[in-house]
Amino acid sequence: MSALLRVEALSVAFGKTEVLDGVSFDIAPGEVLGIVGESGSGKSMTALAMMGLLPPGGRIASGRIVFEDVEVSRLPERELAKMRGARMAMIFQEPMASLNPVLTVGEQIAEVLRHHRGMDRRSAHNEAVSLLKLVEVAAAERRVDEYPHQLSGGMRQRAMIAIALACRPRLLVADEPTTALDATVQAGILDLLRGLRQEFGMAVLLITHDLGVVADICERVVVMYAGRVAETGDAGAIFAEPGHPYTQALLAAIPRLEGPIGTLPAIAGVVPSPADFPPGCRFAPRCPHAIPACEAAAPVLRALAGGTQAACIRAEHAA
Amino acid sequence: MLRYALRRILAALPVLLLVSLMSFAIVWIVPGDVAAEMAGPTATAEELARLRERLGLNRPWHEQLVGWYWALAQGDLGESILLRQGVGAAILERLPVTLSLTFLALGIALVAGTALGVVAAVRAGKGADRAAMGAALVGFSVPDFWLGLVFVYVFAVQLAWLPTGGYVPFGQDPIGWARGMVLPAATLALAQIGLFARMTRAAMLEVLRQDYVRTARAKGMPGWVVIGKHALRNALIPVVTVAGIACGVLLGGTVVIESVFSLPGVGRLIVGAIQRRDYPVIQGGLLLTATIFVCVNLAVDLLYAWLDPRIRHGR
Repeated sequence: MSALLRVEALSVAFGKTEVLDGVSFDIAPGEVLGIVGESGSGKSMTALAMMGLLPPGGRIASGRIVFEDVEVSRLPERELAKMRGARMAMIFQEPMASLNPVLTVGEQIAEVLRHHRGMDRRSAHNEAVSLLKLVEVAAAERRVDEYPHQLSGGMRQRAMIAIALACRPRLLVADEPTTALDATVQAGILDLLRGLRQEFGMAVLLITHDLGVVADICERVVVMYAGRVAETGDAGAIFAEPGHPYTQALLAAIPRLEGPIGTLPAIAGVVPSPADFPPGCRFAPRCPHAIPACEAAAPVLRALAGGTQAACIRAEHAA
Repeated sequence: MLRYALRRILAALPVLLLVSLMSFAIVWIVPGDVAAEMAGPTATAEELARLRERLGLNRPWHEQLVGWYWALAQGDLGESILLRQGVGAAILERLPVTLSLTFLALGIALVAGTALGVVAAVRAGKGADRAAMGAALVGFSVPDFWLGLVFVYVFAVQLAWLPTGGYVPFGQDPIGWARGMVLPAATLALAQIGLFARMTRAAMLEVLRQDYVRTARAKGMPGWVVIGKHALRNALIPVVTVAGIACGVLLGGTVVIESVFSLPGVGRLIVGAIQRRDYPVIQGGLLLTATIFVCVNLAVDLLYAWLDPRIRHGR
């Protein structure tokens, strides 16, 4: 089966500073892929590059992004705009800040329908109500004419999802969709995404720093660290036999309900900023298994016995 | 929305009351004998007494106050000493000139300034931005009386495209009205164009960084929709606030512009009245100017609520 989206050796740079370095992964139609990593690992930048929404100054330095057999990384803005919101849609972390405060929720959904699907005002408005019902917003007929500040955080994110679903995209990119929400609301949003994905057969790229969310919904996982892919594999294998010391450390940092209460092992240090990425393996300075050879050359992804692929020369020693 | 509008209108009433009180008090605040100043050094005692009688100055102050409001309630602003005409009629006659000048200038400044500011913000740091902001600074710095004279010299005297001055009522000849108004309104507007351009640029730069602008782009909206609908509507909120203040400045600026372009407006009427100590006209002029200003700010408040639903819902 050919991939819906292929990211091949993608590097993104701001000026001379590379924030993404040789990132590769793909997504099959209907698949849910999780990208995990701490803040600053390059997760969101990867998603923005896919959408052609890199912040000012950012550019794709090398590599390709191929979506539905079209190389989107080379498309002009006009062609990209036709694809965005129609074939590939995106939702963001802060549902309050991501909705326009001076336009009604209905208008923000309906304009997508009018623009991409050529609907007239009345049918776009009706379809907006149906979409709000689809994302399980109560009293959709009333909510459609309300403004974002009149909605709760969970409802705003549902409205964002309704906007994203308006044109039944093949791929939904969800950048930390539940991070800003309460735990119970989070579960509701994840349930909704899972259900919608089954209903429409759309692929979902879920970006999160929360491995619990990944375990909940993702089939495959890409672990990123400091602008590179650290490890990738099926969710089951990643959780059962993580090969990369960074993945292991992330998993160890998940709080568990069972067992004795103790201090939560945190990963010492922080993700370095792109301007001072270390040579060789970028995780080496924080890695308990690091040897001098780790800093000599950037490790490449290689298949491990556990079923995952990890960019670590010490994986066998770290297990 | 209706409740918000009513609240704003109610809030404007005390201001009007205060202004009317101040207009009344002018006669008491100015040093010296008002009647003596009005009548001039050659007036006889008999003439002075007659003037005092006419102005009601010989009555106790509370009677005068009641009389002032009683007359106001009937729309009577008193009688001009020099024009031998009712103050209300004298103002009404000249009001269309001043109002067309002010609001035409406001319109020009808003449209041109906002457009300039949007272009500058979208092209921030590039040539177009620097050109627009340079032009704004020049517009800001050039005195309006000088610019007015330059405009008259170039467009009216040298090119002879437009009249040097004078006023044609709109009802009589709309094209003549427009030809007569273009130069003075543009002159008056120029400094405000700079103000609006800078305000719009700053607001747009702020708004363009917001997540909802990124959302609009993620939805595949074309660039002009992202800028003109999603960003500009949010950026206009602070700009509208400035428009209220600018309107006051423009109204004050009409005094100079009316003189440069010899337009028979309220500004010149008031200046003449001040020079000749025609107190009833000064009082009427003050009352009128303040009322216009209050109305404009009321309009700004309502516009505000229309632009921003959060204000409408009292949050």
